[in-house]
Amino acid sequence: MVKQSGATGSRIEEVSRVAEQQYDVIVVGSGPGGGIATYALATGGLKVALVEAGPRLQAGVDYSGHHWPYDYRDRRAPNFWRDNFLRGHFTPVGDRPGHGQIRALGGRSICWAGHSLRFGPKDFESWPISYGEVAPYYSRAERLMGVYGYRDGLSNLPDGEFLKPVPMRCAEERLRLGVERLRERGEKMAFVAQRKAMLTIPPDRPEWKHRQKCHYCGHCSGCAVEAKYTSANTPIPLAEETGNLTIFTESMVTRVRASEEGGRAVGIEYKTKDGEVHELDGKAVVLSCSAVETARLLLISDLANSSGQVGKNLTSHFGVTVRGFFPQILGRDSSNDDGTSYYHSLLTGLYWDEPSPKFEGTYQVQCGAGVTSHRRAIRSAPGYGHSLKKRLREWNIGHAGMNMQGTTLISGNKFVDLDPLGRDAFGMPLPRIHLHYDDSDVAMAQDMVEKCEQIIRAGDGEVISSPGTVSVDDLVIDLNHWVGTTRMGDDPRTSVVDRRGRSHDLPNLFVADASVFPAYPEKNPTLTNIALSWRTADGIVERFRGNELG
Amino acid sequence: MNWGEQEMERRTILKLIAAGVLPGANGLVQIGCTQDGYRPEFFSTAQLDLLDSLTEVILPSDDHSPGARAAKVARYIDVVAADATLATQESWLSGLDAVSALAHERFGRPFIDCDPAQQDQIVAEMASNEEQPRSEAERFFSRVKRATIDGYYTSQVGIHEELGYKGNTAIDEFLGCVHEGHS
Repeated sequence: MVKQSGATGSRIEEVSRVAEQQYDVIVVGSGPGGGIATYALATGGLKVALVEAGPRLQAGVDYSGHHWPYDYRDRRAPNFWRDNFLRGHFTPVGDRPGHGQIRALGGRSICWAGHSLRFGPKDFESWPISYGEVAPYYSRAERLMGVYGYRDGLSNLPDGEFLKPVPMRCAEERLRLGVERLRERGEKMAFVAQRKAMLTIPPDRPEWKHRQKCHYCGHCSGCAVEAKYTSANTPIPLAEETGNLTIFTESMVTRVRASEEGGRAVGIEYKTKDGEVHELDGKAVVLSCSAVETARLLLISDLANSSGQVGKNLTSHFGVTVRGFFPQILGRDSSNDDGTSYYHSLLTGLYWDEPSPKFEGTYQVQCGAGVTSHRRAIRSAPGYGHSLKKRLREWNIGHAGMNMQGTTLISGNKFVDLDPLGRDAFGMPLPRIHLHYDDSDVAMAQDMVEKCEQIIRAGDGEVISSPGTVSVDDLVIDLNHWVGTTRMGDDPRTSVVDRRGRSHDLPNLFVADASVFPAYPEKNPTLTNIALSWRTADGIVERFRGNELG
Repeated sequence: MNWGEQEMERRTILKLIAAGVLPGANGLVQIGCTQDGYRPEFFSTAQLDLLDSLTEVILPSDDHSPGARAAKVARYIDVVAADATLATQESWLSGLDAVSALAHERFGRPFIDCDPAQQDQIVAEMASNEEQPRSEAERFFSRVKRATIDGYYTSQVGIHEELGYKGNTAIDEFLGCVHEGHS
């Protein structure tokens, strides 16, 4: 078999189905889940085809950070996120759903913020698997990725295997002070520094040979020096080095192919940019396209949906933003506050032990601060002239931003299905995302605004965002945190995949991405996606060794 | 040039003459360069001069740093307007017209010929209902203010002199807050 991976992007000219060209496993999608699954399968000795819709990009060449806006005619310096994010590739229904993709080798792991928070023991109580079963994979994932953080000893945000931590900035310290004062009055909350998948030490492990130490420039959403973990700089190149991996880039999977009686997956069909249709054969197929796209592909293929749950149980994070200003810190000199991008701290520990009577679930609040050249959000003071200019100068030094991250209630109001009319460039039905906020969602956001304003004032600050009553119109959905559309469970009537990510319907079809989350805490999804996908891939390797799939 | 652009240009010139920004047939229509050689992409030089004065009132020079004029914010707005949709371009033109009309109504002269106190009075009037603007001039205030802020804080003057921004560079260690008394 000819190895076809390479920086130029590869594609096969013709496909035959003779036995020796059958792959052991075909992985569809190369984001956080697909990247780690590919690594675990290839290092486990299986022949893997990784199929990715986008091209292979080169950090520092296709994207880089250190630009100044004034060097560009329209002041729009290159921005990986803005320039590469595929927005609007879906049909929105309801309360302003959003969704975006990066079509590139590595997927959204290229643009993710790196926030790496373990789900806690309580979060797994509504899952079929426990924290203890996932914990070893969290550890493995953290060691491979390189995650920095402090050991905070919190009950439901377990500490991990951390690299040297990154501290908070001045106004974040004021928020911490506010939280400490409220805790003294009996409030249940904690304020800790962020934990992110970035190398704060020299890359002294063999797994990090394609990466460098972070230099704190703040351009994390397209890290030009590979300090931040991505699928493209760690698991995929390591998998390639095994000789077991063939990569197909710029190859859009259009269908999962099943055997005639429909009992097994036999491969995939994909299209290249020239519109040509190709097929690959595999003994097993792993879908890692993200919650919206994995559901879409299964619905288009009309597979793995005897439960009727594919596309259902959709949820994401959502929130509002509260901003404070701390005049106490104006006396300091301007400093280089870029760090590992805006959010260096986290308000957490809310409603872990005592649920709110007003809403279901909980939220966390990502907090940031510091002198910044580019945050429009802190430039919205009223008025003009000398007073405006002075106020914006002071806000730039002394502001803090608090960004709520809560989980939307899983209900019949939120789901993905296929647009009966809209088609994408490959002729496939567009995914249609239905989002209607429930009362519980609005009540949660209202609670967050009140709590954050309380914290700002307790830290002797002023609230500079608009306070008051939250309505559905104020809520902003997270484009990247969708989960739940192929949920995991023991009962094939109410779930799509089993505990090891295997379809209840097709014994050789697996899902390795955040689609499988059966419940969703307030914490960022990626670390758990990586840990679970690694676990799922290990399960596949075991099945091949047991001749169950071979 | 397509029909839309031709129509735009004709209507623009008529409007400007009507608003007194451009002299009519008996005067000299200014086209071409401003004093130091900048060729506007969208506005006339007279409009650019008006924007230059207006943005300086919004973010003025003070003893801390130069203002919007030194940061050449009007030129940034010219580029933004040149790239904008037809509807947005119309809003820029009608907004400038409204400012000119207000200057003439209050002080009987173009905005740029008003003294600083008069200019301030005009902008104060434009800004008086920032939350819920009613008139054309009040609606225009939000647009020009937002663009002034965007242009100023993406300029060398704004980033380095005004904000004292020290980032966008490689450093070895990130220290965070090192101040006693902040926490």
